Amino acid sequence: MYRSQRLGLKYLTASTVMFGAMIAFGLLSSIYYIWPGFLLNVFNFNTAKIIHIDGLVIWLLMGFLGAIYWFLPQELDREVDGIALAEILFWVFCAAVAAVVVVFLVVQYGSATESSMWFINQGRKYVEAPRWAALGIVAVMGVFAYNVIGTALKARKSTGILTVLIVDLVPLVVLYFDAFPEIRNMSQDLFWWWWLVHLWVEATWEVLIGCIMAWALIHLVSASRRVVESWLYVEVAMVLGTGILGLGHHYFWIGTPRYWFAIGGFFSALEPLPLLGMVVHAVYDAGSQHLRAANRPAFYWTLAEAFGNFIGGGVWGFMMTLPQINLYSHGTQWTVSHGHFAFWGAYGCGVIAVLYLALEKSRGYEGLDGRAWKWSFALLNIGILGMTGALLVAGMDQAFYERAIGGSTWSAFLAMQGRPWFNEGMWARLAFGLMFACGYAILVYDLLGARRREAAVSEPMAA
Amino acid sequence: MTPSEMLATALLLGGFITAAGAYGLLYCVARILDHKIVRAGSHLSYAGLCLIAFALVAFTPLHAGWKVLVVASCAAYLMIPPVTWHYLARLHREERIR
Repeated sequence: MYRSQRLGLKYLTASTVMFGAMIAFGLLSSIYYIWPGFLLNVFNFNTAKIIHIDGLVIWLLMGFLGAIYWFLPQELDREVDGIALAEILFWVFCAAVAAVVVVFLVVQYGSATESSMWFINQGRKYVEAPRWAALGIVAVMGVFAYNVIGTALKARKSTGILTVLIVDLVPLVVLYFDAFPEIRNMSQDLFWWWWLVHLWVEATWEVLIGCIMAWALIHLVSASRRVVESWLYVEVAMVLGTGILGLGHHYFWIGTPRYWFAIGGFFSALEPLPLLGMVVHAVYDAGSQHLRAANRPAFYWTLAEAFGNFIGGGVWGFMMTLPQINLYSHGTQWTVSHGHFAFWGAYGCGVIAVLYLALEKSRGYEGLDGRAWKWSFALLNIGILGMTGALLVAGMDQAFYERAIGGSTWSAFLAMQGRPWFNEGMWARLAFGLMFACGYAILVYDLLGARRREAAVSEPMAA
Repeated sequence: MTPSEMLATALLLGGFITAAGAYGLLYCVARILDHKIVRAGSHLSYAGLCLIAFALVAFTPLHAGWKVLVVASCAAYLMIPPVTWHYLARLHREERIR
């Protein structure tokens, strides 16, 4: 195994830990909706929510880094250039994440000063990490870009997938600089901030996961490289074609000109089209494999990725993307429902598929196919379906009564908190969240237990 | 747009994409299994998609531009599964020949 692959395993392990932290703080956040006085003056809701959402970003980012450090040396048949630096940066990354979490837990917030921004909280939604940590992320991403590009240059070789990845690294790194400016005008600030949030999630990350899943398919079902690369080009063109200007759906209500209604609505409405193409591709591959693959967990998680992306991003997104609907739905639990489902489908399932692919190499097929992965697959997916369904009902109730009838007033907001459908939705979300957490616990048990099962299988064979 | 119209329109839009997904999925399964009932299911799903598109055009207060987009999407969704399938099949065929 290459050093880069060992580093990939470390990143995947750290990503799994962050996945757990994200779930824990998600469950905590969901409790506040049921008992608003929970941990009053001890640990506030907004900090729990920050750790939940930032935890999501970090677990996926670590998963992507792990996947690429895993596949890259196989792709180029050589060790990754600058691997020693990458190994150091991994520990720096982990230490920085731990330090930021401790600051969020213990300090939580500071006064409106420059030092608070540098050492406590940067104050920008989804990129709240204090500025020193944000600079650390830039360093990690810079070294990661150097690892990928430097290795391709040293190898004097590139492949279609790698070329797409290298091109994608440029906006991936550059867009993160959007986390830094201090713009006093809120409309202008949000205008640029969405470049980071939307264009990472619905453009550069989509390409990144496309590259990762392309490598995964080559290793998982021995898919032809030419076929995978041809399809990757088509998908990337379609995703970027619709995703970049789909950014406009975030510009409806932040003070931007009216033409963003038309641009945002139009391109967002096109976004489900490539997702349907991905579903067709997934079913084609599954059919050609007769639903059989040596690494079954990775195969099923790959299928879940295609379907989850279509339902979470496509169906849930299209319901609320046109401006006339979005006027009422944005910022309600309806949006939360879409966010949960889309992230899970587009990225979460893909990272778990790569986890099982990496385990295959380190532990063999025998250690993978047990009962535990099926339970975790079922509980995680039913859990997310239940959570997003409950949030959808609560969000529609909110859009209907608080926004459309109540006119988004403060009294309408307060009245909303007592509505039965909203409250039952919050209870159901917590219940399905617990189911999701059980699925995570079994996933960890399965990942840790794969080695034991492998040993158990190989012993009788040796006898 | 009244509150009830808002909810009904959103649900129809969600149903529209769900029907498109069901059509795409059943189209592919029908191609794999060569099964009449599944093929009929894919046709029914597309008919459902057209029906929802009609309802969105005829009964919702969406602006005219969005209604045109819904109709155009309805036509595009008809083409995506067969075109994608043929493209994938051709790629695999060429790869086998190589």
